[in-house]
Amino acid sequence: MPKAAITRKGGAVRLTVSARVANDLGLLQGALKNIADRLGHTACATGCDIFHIGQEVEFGINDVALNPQPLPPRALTFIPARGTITVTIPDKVNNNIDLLNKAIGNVLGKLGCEACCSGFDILFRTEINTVALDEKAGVARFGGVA
Amino acid sequence: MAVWPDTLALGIGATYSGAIDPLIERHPELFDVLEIEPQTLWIKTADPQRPFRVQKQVLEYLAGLPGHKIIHSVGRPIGGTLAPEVAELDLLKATVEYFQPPWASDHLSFNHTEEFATGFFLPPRQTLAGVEAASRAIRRLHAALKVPISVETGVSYLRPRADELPDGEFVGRVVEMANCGLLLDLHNVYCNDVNGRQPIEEFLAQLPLERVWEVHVAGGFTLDGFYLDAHSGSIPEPLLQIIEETIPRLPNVKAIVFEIFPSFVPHVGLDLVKDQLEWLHSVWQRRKVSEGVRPSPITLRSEPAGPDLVPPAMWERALGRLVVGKAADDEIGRELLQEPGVQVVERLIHEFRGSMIVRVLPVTSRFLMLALGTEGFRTILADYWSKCTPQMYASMEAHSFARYLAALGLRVPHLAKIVEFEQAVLATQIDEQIRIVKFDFEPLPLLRAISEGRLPKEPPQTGDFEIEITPDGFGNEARSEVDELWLASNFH
Repeated sequence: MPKAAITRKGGAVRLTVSARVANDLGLLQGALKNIADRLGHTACATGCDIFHIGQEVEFGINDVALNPQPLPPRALTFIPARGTITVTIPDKVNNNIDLLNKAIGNVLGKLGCEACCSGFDILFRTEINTVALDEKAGVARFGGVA
Repeated sequence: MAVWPDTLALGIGATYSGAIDPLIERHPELFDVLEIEPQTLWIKTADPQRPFRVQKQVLEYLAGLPGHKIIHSVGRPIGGTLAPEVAELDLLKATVEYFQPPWASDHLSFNHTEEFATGFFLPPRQTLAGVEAASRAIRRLHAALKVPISVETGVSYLRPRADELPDGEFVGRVVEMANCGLLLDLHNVYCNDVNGRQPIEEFLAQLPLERVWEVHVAGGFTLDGFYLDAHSGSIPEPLLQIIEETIPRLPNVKAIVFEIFPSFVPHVGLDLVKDQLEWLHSVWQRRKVSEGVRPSPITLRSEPAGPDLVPPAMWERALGRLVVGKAADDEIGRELLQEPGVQVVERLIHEFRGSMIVRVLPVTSRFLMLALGTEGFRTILADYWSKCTPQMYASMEAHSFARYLAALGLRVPHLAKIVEFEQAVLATQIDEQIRIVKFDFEPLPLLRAISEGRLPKEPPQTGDFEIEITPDGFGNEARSEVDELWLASNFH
C-alpha cells in the first residue's frame, strides 16, 4: 500500500511520497487531499498544524484512482501579473480524468518507447482539453512571462 | 536456425498494455495470445554503460499472464538501412530468450537517420535497392535473435510513386529475398487503400500468402483527409468483411492480434475490446485449417520505371528531415515537400511527442497550461519541436523538454522548482534511488492545486520544505533481480 508521510527533518517540513504517486496527477491529488484531510485543514497540506506532523497516511491506489474527484466547472480567481485567469474543466472531460489516470498512469510502459502505432496518441489532446482557459480573460499569466 | 515457426496455430489475442489488464483478468479465455512490445517496457537511461534497463519483475508479470507470448519489436524497424545499436539488439535478444516465442516480428519501415530519430515509422524506399536493404536488416535480426522473423506490412501516407514498386510487390520481394514470414497488418493495408495507394485485393494478390503467420487488425479515424492507423477502437465496417474473406486464404496463419493504443482504452472502454476479440474468435473458428503449406516462389512482375536515382539512405534522410521539421536540402526532399502526407506525419509526430511529455511530466505540463494557457503551452511545444528532434523513449523526451525549458528561462514563478521536482521523480523511477528536493516555499498547496487542474488562490508561503521521493512499484522489492537481468544482458 503506498504511503505518504509528513515529517519534520531538522528545520524543514518533509513530505515523503513514492515516485509512482508523484508521477500521476490522480494519485498525487488523492495523496495530497488525504494528507490535508488528516491534518485537519483541507485548504492546505502542510504547516498549519504542527502537532500532526509525523503522521503517515496510507491509501490504496485503486481507491484513489477510482474515487470520484469532482471538479465541477468553476471560476477561479487568482492575482496574476495582468488580468484574471478563469479555469474551467468541462464535466465530460473531468469525468474521464480518473479513468485516464487509472489506465495510463500505470508505470508499466510509461517511460518506454511508444507502442506500435502509425497514427495518433490522444493523450496530449485529452490533457489540453482538460484544462480549458477562458479566452475572454486574455492570455492567462502566472506572474508574467518573459 | 529455424526460419519457419515450429508451432501449431495459437489463436486470437491482443497487443499487451496495462490498459487492458482488467479485461485480461476478467476474461482470460479471450487471450490465446498476448503480443508483447518489448521496447515499451524499456527505460532508456543517460548512462552509456547501462543505456537501457528493464525490470525482471515486469517480465515475470507478463510471463504469468494468460496466452502464448509473441514478441513484436517497435524500436528499430527492419525496413531501413541503419543497424540497431548493439545494446538494443542485445536486450531484444535477452527478451526473446526469456519468453521463447515461436517467432518475433518487426516493421517494414524505418524510424532513424544517421543524425536523429524520427519518432514515427516511415515508409522505406520501395525499389530493388530498398528490397536489398530490408532483406539485409531482416537477416541481421534473424541472426541475432535466432528465432523465425516475420515482417509487418506498413502504412504510408505518401502518394504512390512511379519510380517505386507497388506496395504488394515490394513486400513480396522482401520476404522472398529474406526468406522470412509475413505479418499481414490488414488495417495498415486498409489505410493505404483508403488513402489512395494500392487496393487491398491487388496488394494481397502480390503476396506469398503462405508466408503469413500473423495478422494484425485495428481501428482508426480520419484526420485532415487521411485515414489514420490510430489503433483507436473498433475495426471499421468495410474491413470486417475483408478480414472474413482473407483469413481462409492464409494456410499458415497462427495468430490474429487486435491492436488498440493504450491511451484510447479509457475513451472507448474495455467492452469494445471484448467485443472485437469475441468477433475475431468467431472468425478464427470458421477458418480452414491447412497448416504445413510451404511457400512457393511468387511471380514478380513489375520493375520500377526508369533508373533508381534515390538510394534508400538518401530517401530516409530526406523524408526524415521533413517530418521532424527540418528544411529540405536536396532534390528528393524538395519533391517530398509537396506531399500532403508529409505534413500529416509531422503533425502526428507532434501529437506523439506532446503525449510523451504530458505522460512523463504531468505536473510541469499542467502547470504550464494553467499558467500560460493552452495556446501558450502549444506555442512553447511548437518551438521545442522545431529545435529538438524526437526521442524514441519517453524518459529521454522528458529530459530533452526539461533542458529546453531551463534554457528558455520562462518567468513563471516556481516553474523551475516544479521541473526540478518532476525530473527527480523521473530519475527515481529510473534508478530507484531516494531523492530529496528542497523548496523555499510550501510546495504542497501548489502541487495539489495543479493536480486538481487549477492554480492556487494565493502564492505559496515561504519556508523550509522538502519532498522525499521514494521508489515504488515494479522493481522496488527486486533490485537484485533487476541487476541480474542487466548482467545477463551484458549491460555493464
